[in-house]
Amino acid sequence: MKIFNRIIILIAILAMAWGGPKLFRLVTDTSTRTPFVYYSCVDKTFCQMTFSDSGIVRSNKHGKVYNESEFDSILPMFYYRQLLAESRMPDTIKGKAINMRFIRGNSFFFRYRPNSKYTPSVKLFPLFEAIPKRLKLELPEDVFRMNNGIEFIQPETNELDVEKSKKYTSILLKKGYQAPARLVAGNPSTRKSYDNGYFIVDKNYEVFHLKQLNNRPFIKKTNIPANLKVKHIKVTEYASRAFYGFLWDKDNKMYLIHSQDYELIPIPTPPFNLEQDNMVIMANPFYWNISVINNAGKTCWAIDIDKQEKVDDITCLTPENSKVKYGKWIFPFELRFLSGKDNYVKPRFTWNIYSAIPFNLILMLIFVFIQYRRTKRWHIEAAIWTLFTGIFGLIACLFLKNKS
Amino acid sequence: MIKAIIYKEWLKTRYFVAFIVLVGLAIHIYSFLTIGHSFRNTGRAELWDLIVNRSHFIFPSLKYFPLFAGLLIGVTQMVPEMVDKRLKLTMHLPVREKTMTTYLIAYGLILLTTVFILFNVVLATFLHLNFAWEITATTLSTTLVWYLSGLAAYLLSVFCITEPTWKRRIPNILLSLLLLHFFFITDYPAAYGYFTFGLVLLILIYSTFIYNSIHRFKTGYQD
Repeated sequence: MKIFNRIIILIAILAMAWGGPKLFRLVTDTSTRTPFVYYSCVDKTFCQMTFSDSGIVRSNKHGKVYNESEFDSILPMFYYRQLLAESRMPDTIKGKAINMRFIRGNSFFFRYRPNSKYTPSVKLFPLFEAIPKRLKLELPEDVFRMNNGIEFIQPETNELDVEKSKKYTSILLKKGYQAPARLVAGNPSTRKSYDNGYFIVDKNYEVFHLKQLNNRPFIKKTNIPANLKVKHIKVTEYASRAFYGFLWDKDNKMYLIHSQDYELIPIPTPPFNLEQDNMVIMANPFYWNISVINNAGKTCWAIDIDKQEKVDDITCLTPENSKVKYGKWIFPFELRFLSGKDNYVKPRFTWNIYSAIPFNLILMLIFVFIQYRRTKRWHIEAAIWTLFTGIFGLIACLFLKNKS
Repeated sequence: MIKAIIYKEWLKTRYFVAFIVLVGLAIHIYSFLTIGHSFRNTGRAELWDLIVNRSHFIFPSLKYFPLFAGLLIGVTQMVPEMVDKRLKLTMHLPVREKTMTTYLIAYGLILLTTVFILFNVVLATFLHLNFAWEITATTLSTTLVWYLSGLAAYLLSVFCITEPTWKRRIPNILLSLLLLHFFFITDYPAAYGYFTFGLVLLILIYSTFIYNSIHRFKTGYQD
């Protein structure tokens, strides 16, 4: 029966390794706001807004401090509405005439989070009519799935639209599609001004573009090289209509899919990992501010659009929460089931064995002392167990161990 | 003798099994009516869109039903045994302690599994008639975790009830609450996809806990 008692203790340790640090964080955790950074097309350097208990500090990368109004004026591409309202907007920047339409038409905001890709999903997709009779996009009456071809299912009847499926499948197969699809990338929302359809990556990493135009299929095999082994595509529908979206290859290298013949334009980015890092792009007509954000902090590059090269960079490290770090000394390991990187539940261990050894040693001595006073025997096995499992092992042994 | 033991367990739990079946049917019928209402008023295409593109889950009212079903069977099966320590009589029958414990757990597990399979068949049939198989699979993989929580709740309740002393029963209850929470970490549909086998393994492990409690009961632990 000893074995069953040991199983209980082991499972209790796992449960505490999950619940203990969670409770500790709940008590000690405070939010750490990373600074807002944006490249100034006036100052030609990064400007930042940092948040602290004493208030907001606005400065540039070299330490020059600005007041709010000055900060607006050195970032005209970000605060253009404020500047236009106050009639402080410059007429030209970098030799180009500036107006609201020009800025809006050439600006966009893009965000990538790993949990948007690594998430359980239902592999059904609505194919929008890309040339709708009314301006507004409407939810189609069917959805499609990818198998050996394309199958359209009508929610009203929960039945296949055989004719439409055959029509699309025959064209797709003629274009050289090989099942199964590795990726079906689109933007299944009606909250956009137009529709760029879907990009489908097949078994051989060939990329196909699928749209519906005037109720007819538009399927094109793109010239995106298969040897890139496309890992991810994010379709965008921005006002400029200059590109279809962003693409990442097997090495996490980022490209822009130009709407002119699917030409791939490499985008210089800070080191980026699709599985781990968040990415934010704040683009204006002159520069793209590309930020890669992870646990360590935020690295932002400014890319000159005309030259397609990096002109400046800035890194802001995330300060370590002093109270949270005590957890590493108390808990020898931690079990988590969730992560900000994906939406799956699975066990994930973090090991702090070495940093927790001094605390574990103290606990072990306390345990040995308590047990000796109780039983007048040395519990060597349980003591070693406590040394490695720390506070979890101590609590489990004290409350759940059967007396022999 | 096995037949007699199973009959004894059935006598203790039969009304509660009927209650669980009735409550389960009521919850399922209510969920189906709600979805039918959405079909009529929102539209099927819109509801499909919510499920597919907004990760909307259409059976939230099922979430805690298996948990309460498991707890109810555990309580109704074991509390009468613990009153006046009647379990001692069962344990003094000419059957090994482990074998008898296995019979008792197997009765509850088989009973609950049968009821849960029945409800899953009803649910799968409804889904199959109204939704694509992708939606059916996602929904069933989400509800599967909740049904597994029902089995876990049964085992952990028996583990706590059969423990002979309150001094140990309280840590057991706290541990059981933590362990049950493993089944409700997130509401995201199909999020347990990679860990469903892990949950089944956990349930197998939880079932071993009861042997410890019953051994302590039979031995007469007082600590």
